[in-house]
Amino acid sequence: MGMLAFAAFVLCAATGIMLVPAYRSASALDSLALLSLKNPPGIFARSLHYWSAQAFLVLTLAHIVDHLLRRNERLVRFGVWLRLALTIPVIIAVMLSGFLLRADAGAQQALPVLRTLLGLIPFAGAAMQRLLTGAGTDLSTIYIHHACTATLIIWLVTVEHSRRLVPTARSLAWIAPPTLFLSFFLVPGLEWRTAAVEKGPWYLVGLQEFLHWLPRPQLAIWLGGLVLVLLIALPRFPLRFDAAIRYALSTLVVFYVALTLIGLAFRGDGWRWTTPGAVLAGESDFLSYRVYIPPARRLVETSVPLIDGQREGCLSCHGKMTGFVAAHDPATIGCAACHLGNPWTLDKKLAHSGMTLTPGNLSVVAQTCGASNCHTDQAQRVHASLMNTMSGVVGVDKFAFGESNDLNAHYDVADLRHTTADTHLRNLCASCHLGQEKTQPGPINETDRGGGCSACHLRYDPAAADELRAHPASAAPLRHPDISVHVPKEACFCCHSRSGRIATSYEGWHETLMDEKTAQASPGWPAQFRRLADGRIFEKHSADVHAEKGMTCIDCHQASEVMGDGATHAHERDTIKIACTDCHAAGKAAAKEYGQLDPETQQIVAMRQLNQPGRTFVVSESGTAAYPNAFLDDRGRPVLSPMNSAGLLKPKPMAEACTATMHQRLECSACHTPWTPQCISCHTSFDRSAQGWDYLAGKYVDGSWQEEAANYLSDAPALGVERTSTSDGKSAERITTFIPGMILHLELPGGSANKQSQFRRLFAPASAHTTATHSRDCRSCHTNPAALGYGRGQLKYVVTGRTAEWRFTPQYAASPEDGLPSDAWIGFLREPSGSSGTRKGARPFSLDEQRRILLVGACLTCHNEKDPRIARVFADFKDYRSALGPKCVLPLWPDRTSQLEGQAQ
Amino acid sequence: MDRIARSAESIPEESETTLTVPWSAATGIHFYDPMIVVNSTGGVAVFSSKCPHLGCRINRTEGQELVCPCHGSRFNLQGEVVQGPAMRGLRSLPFGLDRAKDALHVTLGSSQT
Repeated sequence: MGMLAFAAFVLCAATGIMLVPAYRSASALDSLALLSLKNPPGIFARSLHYWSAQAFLVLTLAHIVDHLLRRNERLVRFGVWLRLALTIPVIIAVMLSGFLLRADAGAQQALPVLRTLLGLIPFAGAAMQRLLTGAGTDLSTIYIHHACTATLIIWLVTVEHSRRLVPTARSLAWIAPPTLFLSFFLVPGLEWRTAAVEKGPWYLVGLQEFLHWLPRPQLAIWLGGLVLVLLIALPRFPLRFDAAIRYALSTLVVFYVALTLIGLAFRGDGWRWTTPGAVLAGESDFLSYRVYIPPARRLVETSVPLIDGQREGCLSCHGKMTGFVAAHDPATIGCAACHLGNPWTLDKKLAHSGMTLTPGNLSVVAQTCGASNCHTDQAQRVHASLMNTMSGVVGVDKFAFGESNDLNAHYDVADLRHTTADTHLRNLCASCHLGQEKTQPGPINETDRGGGCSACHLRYDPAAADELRAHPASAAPLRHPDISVHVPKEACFCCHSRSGRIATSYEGWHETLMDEKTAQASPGWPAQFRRLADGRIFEKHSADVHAEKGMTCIDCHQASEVMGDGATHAHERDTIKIACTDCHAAGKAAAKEYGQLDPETQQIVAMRQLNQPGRTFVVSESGTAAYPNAFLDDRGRPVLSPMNSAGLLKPKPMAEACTATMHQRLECSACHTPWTPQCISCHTSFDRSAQGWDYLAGKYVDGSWQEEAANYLSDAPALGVERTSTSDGKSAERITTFIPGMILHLELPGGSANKQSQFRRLFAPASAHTTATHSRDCRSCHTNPAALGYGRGQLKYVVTGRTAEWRFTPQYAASPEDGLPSDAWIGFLREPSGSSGTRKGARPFSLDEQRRILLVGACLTCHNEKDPRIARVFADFKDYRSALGPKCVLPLWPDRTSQLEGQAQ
Repeated sequence: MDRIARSAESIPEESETTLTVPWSAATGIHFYDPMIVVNSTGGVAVFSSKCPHLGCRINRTEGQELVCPCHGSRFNLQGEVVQGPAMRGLRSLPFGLDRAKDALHVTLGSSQT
């Protein structure tokens, strides 16, 4: 055993000499990176050097154990024994120094640990630090000790012990084949970036585990010293203590082996407990024999660039790529910083091993976008954002399915199991969250969603899109899509063309139930129609005025809302910190100087070069959000620089009518939403015989949820009341727009004998994103049954003599389930009962409110809204009686009361 | 405590133990080789990235904690130790903020370099 160890040592020393020309201690990592990139013989020499060193260590330890078991320590002179025992720390030192001389990420972590431990040696700590490891990042001291001092000491002691200058030929013949075999097939790699867990060399992982439990690492020094002293003194102890000492040493060895196994197999990120499977699934420290395939001559001749102090082999093949913004240009950050892989080999397969095509996927974002020197904050926050958790979608779905009574519960779509609501979501909804993995190159669209950071920030310009179309099979096009803060509206469109359809509505498109053939036969084709990537046909309606002005989603929806603010929220409306009045302020808009903005806003302002001396930037009235794209001009009026279009916009201040007393409870959208898509008769059922796609599992499963709609309507929304929190923490009720959250028949899965069909009539507060400059007129609310929640139809004010009453004839037939018209929210002039909204604090108008609205409506049946009498009522509703004329007839309500004593709404 | 420098006079002079980084890049928690910049609504704090246990570089966060990859010590964003084996918190580093030049100047101790 000893001779085999000697043979391994000599092999190691010989290969070490071979590495001298290639290795430079002054730039150790770079020299090894270049070796890995372009020097297959050098790689082999290094691999053989590594494996012969491991063999030397293992065989030496086995030899020591073998001698201790045979009790041979008393057969040698004490001086020899002493030198042998003292060589053990020298052997550990030469092994560890070899690890440190790699100078890769793991070695860079290990060096300060070693220095700290050396510094804990009593009396001589500082001197030992300097003597053995030198200072700073200079590895020359360590190199000299590794190559000369320690090697020489080990050789001399071995010569004394074995009485041979060189090992036997037989021992060399035995050691060479296995080490050559391992060197060829398991090539030690280099750690080019820091990892979430740093494990040192395998023989010291046990010490690392021990140190995890030791708040005072000095104990490790003392224990190590004790073991060495026991070993040295072993031959000198009386025989009666022999058994006890051997037992103690054996116990320590077993204990250390156990610690090593724990550290190697059961420790993961942050040195936390994990499973061996998870450890094995991680990146391997070894490369395959492919490293020995010589790279193409042109690659060898081309200089591999240094990016941020590290060689970037990727650029040898992909150096001609364009399309990046400066911050993400490979000339600045390389390729591997985002795409991972191995930048220190020119072999294609090895270079791409461990690579990710979509670095933005949340499964890898902690290593890519969220790496320690990049976007750690955003990568952390986004996991809790609603864009990832879909909490509101899940919560409302579970509420509708009767699986939850709590509309404010927090959910995460990733935690869905297989309840009825869960399968419904997995089947139909769960592709629209940031955690959905993007697996193919290409722009985000209705058929390819998700991708984490890429879901928003990936932008294909026309050249990149052309390149992709021309070379669809190429994963490395010459024109790379850019990654920037300029999130295109198309990114939002892919998901928000579903559910509330706000993305399509924003651009002025309303969904139909037509197929393409029917649409093509319709007048107005193609100009008035649009086909989405998923085959749905939309027809043209009025677009949101903000879209017409060139604004896109991110001009209003900020990073803290979309990427999350670190807190968990149940619903999207809880995350909104901005308001229309921030820019459309009646008076002076709230603003802050650049230096007072939060760092994220400052960064975007600086990137867009909007920061000018003295300029102030618009902030929300709540004070919790700042606009990186809006600032005050020299007259104190807001100016907006759209994120995705040129030019400047000047938002108009609110009209006087917006601030009138009676309308103070109204959200801007209540008046400025001309239309919103509404579905009033959905049918959802589960087909056991069909195959459904499970978006979370990524596979087809038995059974599929089917949804059918009778018709999509597109007119003005209903209004209702929502309780919101103000900036000073108080709550207030606001009148806003509502749409059917669902009016549907739900057939729950079950046998044919007990198929359950349930009916749901739930309305949801919704922002249609169809904002018009001009508001709806007074009658469109005060005499419109749909606005009041009654549904569509005829609402007439019938005057008979000196009495009058409102009468409603619905357009749609009553539902047998609750007697309300198919499109209604509440009954005509009835107090709403039960829960009919999908948010806590969201409700239809009470009977009292309905009457007040219709009281004004009664006036409007005779008087034009510009009539001075109407203006008086508008100015002070409480005093409406003083505006009554002799011919005015007030409504008689169904309970025979008349004249409403009420306050202004 | 507002630790943001208010005037250029408090900016340390450039020396071999002073590190200057772009201020606009310091968003949230930002890691540099010898230091960690924590930028929150409460102000700015700069800590040595060297774990007080045995000197490993802390290079990542988990939630609101800074995690040492070598032996698992954890620290909150105020630099206080949350979980050992470290027994001391992260060392605070003096710094100055030059808003005019968008630069953060941090004074490193000799043991940081």
